[in-house]
Amino acid sequence: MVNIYESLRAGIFTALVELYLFVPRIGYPAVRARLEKKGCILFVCSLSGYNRLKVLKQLQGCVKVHEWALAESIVFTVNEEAAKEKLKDITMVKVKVGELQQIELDIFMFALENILPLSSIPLNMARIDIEIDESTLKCNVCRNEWNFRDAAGKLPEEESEAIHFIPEVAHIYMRCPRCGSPDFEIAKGRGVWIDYIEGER
Amino acid sequence: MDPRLNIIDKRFENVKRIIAVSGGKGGIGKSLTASALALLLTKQGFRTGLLDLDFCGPSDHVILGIEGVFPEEDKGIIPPEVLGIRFMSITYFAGYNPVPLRGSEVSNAIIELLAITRWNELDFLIIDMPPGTGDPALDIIRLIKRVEFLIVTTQSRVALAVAKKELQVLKELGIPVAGVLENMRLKEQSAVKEELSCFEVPFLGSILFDHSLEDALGDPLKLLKTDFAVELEKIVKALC
Repeated sequence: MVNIYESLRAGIFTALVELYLFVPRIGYPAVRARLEKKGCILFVCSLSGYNRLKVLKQLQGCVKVHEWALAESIVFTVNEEAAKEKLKDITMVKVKVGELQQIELDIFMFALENILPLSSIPLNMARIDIEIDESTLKCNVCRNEWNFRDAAGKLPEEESEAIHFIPEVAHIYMRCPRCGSPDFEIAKGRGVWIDYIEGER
Repeated sequence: MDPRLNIIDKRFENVKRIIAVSGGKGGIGKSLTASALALLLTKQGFRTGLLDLDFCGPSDHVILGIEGVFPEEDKGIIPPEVLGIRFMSITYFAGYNPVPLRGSEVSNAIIELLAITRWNELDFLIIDMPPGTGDPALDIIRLIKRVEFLIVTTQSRVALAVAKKELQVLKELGIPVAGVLENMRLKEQSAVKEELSCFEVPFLGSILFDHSLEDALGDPLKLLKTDFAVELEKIVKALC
């Protein structure tokens, strides 16, 4: 693999092919982390005067994560509801993201930002409020309550990743810390949902 | 408001037919039928997907000998193509572990899987259903508007009685039934066709109990050569 870092510093940009670059100030550290995890080569460098849109376009093609599907469902639902309620303008969308889903907020926001132009009703990031909903897990056997955050750090990465895809598989990899039962309820902090949509007719 | 519910239709927009292989009782050959059906449709040149929705007892991967694959993440998840079949199962996330889920959690997991899985273009999507008319069956009926059911039963009075109940539910809800398949037939005489005639659904045929099947599990080529698969192939032609 060509080490192009020096070339970039020297202002030679032709080696961009197959590499994903972005300027740190764009601020998508989780995108970078996920790409790195996936074996993509990433060079974080300051490219003064580099066109931000060009960089974003590059990133758009390489974010292949399933946060995209969830972001798509948000935009799709806002469009459906707006049509149903005959809204002409959306003033606020409140989105809650369950902690158990382990959505990487940077990636989710990045995906949303890129899907928004496809929305049939004008929508921008300033009108989308995203809040993390902390989890509460309740044991059906001993009624103990705990949260995913405390237990998550002890899970191997692949188990944590499986929960990220299908949060219910937490029942496979987690147990009640008090009685050891897998029979617990995800009382709070699961999934991605729209709390409310505000708009004008 | 659960946004996942609104995206599910879109996930199936390029799938021509969606067939849920179901049946009231466990152990009547639903998974074998679903897996072999997917194999046979692929063999006939149809673009086919197979979704194992039996979360608590997934077995299609065992029947087809599928291992060492994982979905690709691409704006959702894309089921890997194995043996020409786009295959999705909870085993990718659960491994060999037991899956102790209550009904509401099964529903949530089904919604999640349907919302994030991108099937792209398919002629057939075969869904291997868990036994009964509980949450998974009701979820599939609620969430996949174009679904049709293929009911598997045996001639046992026990299986037949439950198959009737399922057909009754489907009839009441106005869900199309592609047909009924009698599997594992042991006796020359069988009353299945006659017993189910009142439901006015196509009787697809009977398949004799095949003693060679167990040895063919995990080996798709061997599976296709069994009497079971040969008989099922005739039935598939009637389905297409």
